[in-house]
Amino acid sequence: MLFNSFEFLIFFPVVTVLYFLLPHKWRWLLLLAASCIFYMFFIPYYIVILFVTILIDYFAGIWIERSTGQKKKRYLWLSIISTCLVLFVFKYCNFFIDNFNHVAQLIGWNYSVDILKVILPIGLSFHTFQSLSYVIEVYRGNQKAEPNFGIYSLYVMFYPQLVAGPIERPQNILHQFYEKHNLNYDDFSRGMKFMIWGLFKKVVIADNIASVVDTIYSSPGELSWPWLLLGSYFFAIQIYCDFSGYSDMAIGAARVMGFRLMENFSTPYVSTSIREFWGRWHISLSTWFRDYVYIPLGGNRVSEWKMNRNLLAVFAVSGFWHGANWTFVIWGALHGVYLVIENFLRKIPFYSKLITSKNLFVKVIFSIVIFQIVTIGWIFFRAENLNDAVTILSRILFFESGKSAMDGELSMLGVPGLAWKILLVFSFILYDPFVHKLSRGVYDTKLNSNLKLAGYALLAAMVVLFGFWGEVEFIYFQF
Amino acid sequence: MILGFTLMSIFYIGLSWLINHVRVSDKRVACWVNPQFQRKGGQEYRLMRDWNPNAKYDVLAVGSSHAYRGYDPREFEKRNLNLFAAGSGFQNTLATYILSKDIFKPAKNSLVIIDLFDQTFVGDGVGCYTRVIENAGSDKAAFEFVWRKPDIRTLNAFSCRMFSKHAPVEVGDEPGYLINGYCPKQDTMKTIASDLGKVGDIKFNNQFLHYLDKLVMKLKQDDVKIVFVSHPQPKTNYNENYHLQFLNYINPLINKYGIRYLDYNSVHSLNNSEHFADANHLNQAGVSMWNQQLLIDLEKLNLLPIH
Repeated sequence: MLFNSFEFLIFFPVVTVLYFLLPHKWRWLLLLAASCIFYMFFIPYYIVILFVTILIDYFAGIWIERSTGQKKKRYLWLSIISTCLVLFVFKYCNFFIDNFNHVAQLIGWNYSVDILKVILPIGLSFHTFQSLSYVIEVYRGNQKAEPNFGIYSLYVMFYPQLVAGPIERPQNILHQFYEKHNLNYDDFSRGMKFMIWGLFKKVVIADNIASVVDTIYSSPGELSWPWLLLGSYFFAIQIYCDFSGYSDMAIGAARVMGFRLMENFSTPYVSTSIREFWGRWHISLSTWFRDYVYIPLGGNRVSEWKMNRNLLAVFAVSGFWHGANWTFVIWGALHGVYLVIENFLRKIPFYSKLITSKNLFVKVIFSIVIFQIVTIGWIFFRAENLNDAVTILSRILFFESGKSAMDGELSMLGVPGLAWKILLVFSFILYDPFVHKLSRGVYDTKLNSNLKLAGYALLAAMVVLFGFWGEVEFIYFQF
Repeated sequence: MILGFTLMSIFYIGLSWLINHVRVSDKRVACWVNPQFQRKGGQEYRLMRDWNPNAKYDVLAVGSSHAYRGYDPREFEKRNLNLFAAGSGFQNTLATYILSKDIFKPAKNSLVIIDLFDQTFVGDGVGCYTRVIENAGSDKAAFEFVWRKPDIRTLNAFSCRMFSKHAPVEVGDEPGYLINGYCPKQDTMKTIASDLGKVGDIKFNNQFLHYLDKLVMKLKQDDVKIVFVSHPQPKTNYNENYHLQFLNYINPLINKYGIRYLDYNSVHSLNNSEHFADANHLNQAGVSMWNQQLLIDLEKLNLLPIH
């Protein structure tokens, strides 16, 4: 089920009302049933796969807690390998088969392996990482193994964050399923504000500019550089609005019922450095890689050479997590390279002084530069293949002329239609930091509550009227 | 919460009014800001204005664009029959049901040709509804679409309709429009037709079968003759597996009512390059040839109205 669907408009209030009507001891069961229904709206029988991984990690958690020494470690690895195996079969197997076939062809080996005919279960990478987080924390002794199978299943399946995160840690969410949440005005109102803002980002901004992005990225070799530049900027905004919109809706839906999910985005495009960008973009994933991969590899405590190597490796793997395609690997590795260069630049006193400057002008300039650098990465992320990505980059860099996108599929859009989309994007860049703070209560004491209510009512009206409605999936669902 | 909802409604009405009254480049702003808002005009607008509720139409062709591009009133006129082609873009059975109830009401003892196109039984059909809501000749019919398909898009389309009642037409007639809803294409197919994604299993929307059932029941109560027809398809666009799935889906209803079904989908006597305008539609030459055959077949089945 999609958050931006008519079904969810029925599902969400029904589940929320039932949640508060039921006695506390039955609420987890309701949430689990609701989560199953939510997941089964996509491909019903894939719930079996989810059940298998839940079963493995539930018992692994208990066995890890009861064991010591090598045995404990073996259980951990058994759990990690079996959970990752599911991910490998459904997400990465065809990537390796495809690459194997290419290499075989290159060396003239007349042999090819058939591609597996499987569809990637929705949100598999997200709940796999959430399961891994649980067994690792139990292994580290930071979390007690969950004795109740139903509650553990809910930890993995909790519907607001089941298919696209935030990737929660057991310490943050598991205990909340045992706590009694009463209907609370503050939670309800805050949750609804998150949901309206998230929905606005998804259906008004992201889905409205998606047609322009799709058209431009479908024939990059023919279009002139300004169109490719426009498509690249639009995609940078589209992916942010799409993904952070989903996260906000997930946080909001959980908050209405009194659950607090972790922050996943914090206006990343105001970042003045790549390091800051990764502290603001997909926070639950970047901290996951930091805690479970980067720090165990030595973190900042190893030599500089090793630290940079680790950074590159972690970011390349993070790219691979996003999708089984070389474009994602390059995107991840590119961010690794950015960070290595930035670490080097920070050693130069002038740069270091500049990047920590409080001067607004300097900050704006740095934000603009970082946005350009991040957008270059998004070209690799969005392009169909490496060839397309290089074509787009080179055509922009060398100001190559070509066709106008308005001559083809976008002709129906018209100049006023395109101007409206550009206006939407520019105005969004200006008010996003403000609304982000507003929905997090920063201006609670400064702004009149009626004014805020009117502001959100206007946003909601715009969502209904200007939203692009229909079955438009979230980009991150494919991961 | 009530105050918030009230404020939202006021803003919604205010914004709707604004985008339907301010015009840019001769069109309402509504048409520029959301591609899901339909422009006033086009085939739906024209055929609703050309329909004469006082005229007695002997034959009514309903369905998707096949129905307004594939049935030539002049061919039927040769047999002294008055045909109205009441098709609209991707018109599905829910839309046909509402339109035949509220606007295109068939006369007693007339013949209704229900053109069955497999693609109109797939998806949610909202694109078809919003075009009709904007252009329908009656508010009642427009509202019935919102009522039967409650969706933000149909609600928005209805609000736009109400705020743009006096707005001038923004899109002209379909090129080549002739009479009684009929709008032929003159082109010949220049490229090989695509298969329109006809692979694998079709995910039919059972709501459309339900409405086909309701439509048939209603027409039978009105003493109207009914025939199901599947319009010819170019050879390159015909997928047997796909068509068999459609037949399996539709057959229980055909058997339930004993309705005659003339299936020309797999009849490939028409030539791709001479008789088809594109992957889905016959051109004028194809329509003339096929309509003659259709009339012969309808006559054999005693379905043609007799004066």
